[in-house]
Formats: sequence, structure tokens, C-alpha cells
Amino acid sequence: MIFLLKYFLVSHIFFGLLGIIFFYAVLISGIKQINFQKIKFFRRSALFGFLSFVLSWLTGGYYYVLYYGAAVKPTIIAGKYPWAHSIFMEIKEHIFLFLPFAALVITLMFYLFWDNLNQNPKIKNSVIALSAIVVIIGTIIALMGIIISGAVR
Amino acid sequence: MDFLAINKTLHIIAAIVGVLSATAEEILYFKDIKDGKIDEAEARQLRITYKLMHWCLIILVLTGFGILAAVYLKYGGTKTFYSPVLWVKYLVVLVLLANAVLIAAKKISMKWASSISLTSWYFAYALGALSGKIREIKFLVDFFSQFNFIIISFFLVIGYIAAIIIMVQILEYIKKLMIKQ
Repeated sequence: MIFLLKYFLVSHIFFGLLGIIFFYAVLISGIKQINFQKIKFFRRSALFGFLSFVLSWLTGGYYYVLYYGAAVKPTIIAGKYPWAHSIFMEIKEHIFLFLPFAALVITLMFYLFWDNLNQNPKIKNSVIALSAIVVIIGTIIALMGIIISGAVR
Repeated sequence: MDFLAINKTLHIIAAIVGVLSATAEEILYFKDIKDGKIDEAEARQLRITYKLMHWCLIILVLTGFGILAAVYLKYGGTKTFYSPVLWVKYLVVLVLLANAVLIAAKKISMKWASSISLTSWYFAYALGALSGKIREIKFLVDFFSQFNFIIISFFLVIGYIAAIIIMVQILEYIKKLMIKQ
């Protein structure tokens, strides 16, 4: 594996985890009782979380297209754990696609509809629920990554 | 120092600081409730230890994945990735994170929340420390290799749940003693 691809793989993991951490921060702070003085915190956390997911998306996508399909996938399919690709990678690569969009929705809510969040608890609860979904899906995707990597023997 | 060594070092430091801050939080909490209430200065101290635990958890998760990435880049997929100890450690970290969400949402009593937090920190630390030691002792490696992933995971999870229940009793007993004094 060339140095750039190694760097992209590590970046993919790092930014993916960072995205989860930022949205976990949004979830924890939002669940307490939204403090409307903390507008900057919510906006920054969501924005950094969204950007982290986009970077993870790009670096992971680059690695997948250029290296995984040609070198890693055949090794997994021929190895002891072919289901690591046929089940987990197939699930991962599809769920992974919409994570940045869900993150973008939350970010836009904090930037464009802060007043609505302030006035309508239903909207606030929906944004918090979406943050929880992002954290849960992100965590599942991260754990699937371990299963897939472990199958390359 | 290579990528693997940096991650391992940071992981160990974060684990030690995390365990110490979880312990410090309990000690401070027991000290604070002696007079039956927690004032602003005491609450500030507790918030500092709580924040410290959060930061340690973040570093632990990042470096934990960093270690796996480094192992993968160096050796490819290894047995480590499918180790029951690793997956039970992840389960414990997920319980810690869910515990923090439940505390924030006020959906869990402090009696259970503090026991889960303290037990989880020590349990994850013990798993990390013991698994390293066990790998060095051939007799234990042979013994554990008889059992499959599910059996080892099952017993570890049972042990974890039992440890939480025991911790609830211990902390409640200490709390009663402190309030009596």
C-alpha cells in the first residue's frame, strides 16, 4: 500500500470518529436542556461534525475505489471470513452514504432555524433524535470497519 | 516513536487518568455529601472530574482505533480484531457513553449511574491490562483457546454485570457511613 493510501485510511477512521464525537457532544448538550446562550457551541459542533463526516467520506471513498476493491476485497472473499465483505461492507458502504446528509440537516437546523428550535420543543426533540441516530449509525459503521479489517488475513 | 507506539502510549495515559478521575469523582462526591448538600464550589470540582473523564474517553476511543489501524497497516487483519476482550471493551465503552446520555436526560438514578461509571472504567482498564498479561503466559493462552468467542464474551459480560451490582452495594454502604458521620 502506498503512503498516500495509508494516510487516507487513517484519515478516514480519524475523521469518522471525530464526526461521531462532535454529534455526541451535540446530543449530550441538547438532551440536558438547550441553553440558548450556547448557540455557538451547537453551531460549531454540528458544523465540525458535518465537515469531519465529509472528509471521512472523501478519504474512505478514495481508498475504497483505488485500493479496497482491487486488493482487499479479493483477499477477504478468498479468506475464512467472506461474510465480512458480503454482509458488513455491503451494509457499511450504503449506510455510510447518507450520514453526511443527516449531519448537514442538523447543521442547517442550528444555523437557519435556531429561533424555531427555541420556540418549538417538537422541532428541538426531532433534531436531538436525529443527532442520536447519527451517533448510533456512526458507531455501528465504526464497529463494522473493525470486523472488515480483521477479515483481511 | 512510530504510529503504533504513540497510540499505545496515549491510550495507556488516558486509561490511567480516566480511572483516576472516575475514582476522584466518587471520593469528592462522598466528601461533599457529608453535610447533606453539594454547594457551588463542590459542584465545580465534580464538573472538572466529569470533563476530565469525557476527554479521557475521547482519547481512549481515538487511540483505540489508532492502535487497530496501526496493527492493520503493519500486519494486516489479526486475531486481535476478533478478540472477545476487544469487543467486550467496546461494549463497556458504549455503556459508559449511554450512561452519560441517561444522566443528562435524568433517566437514571445517581446510585446506578455512579456505579456503572466507576465499574466500567475499572473493568475496561482491567481487561486491557489483563489481556496483555494473559497473552504472555502459555498455560493461560492454551486454557482460553478451548473456548470460542461467544462463551468468553458471555462470561465477561456476566462478570461485568455482577461487578456493577456489587459496586452499587459497596457505594450505598459507603454513602450511609458518610452520612452517619
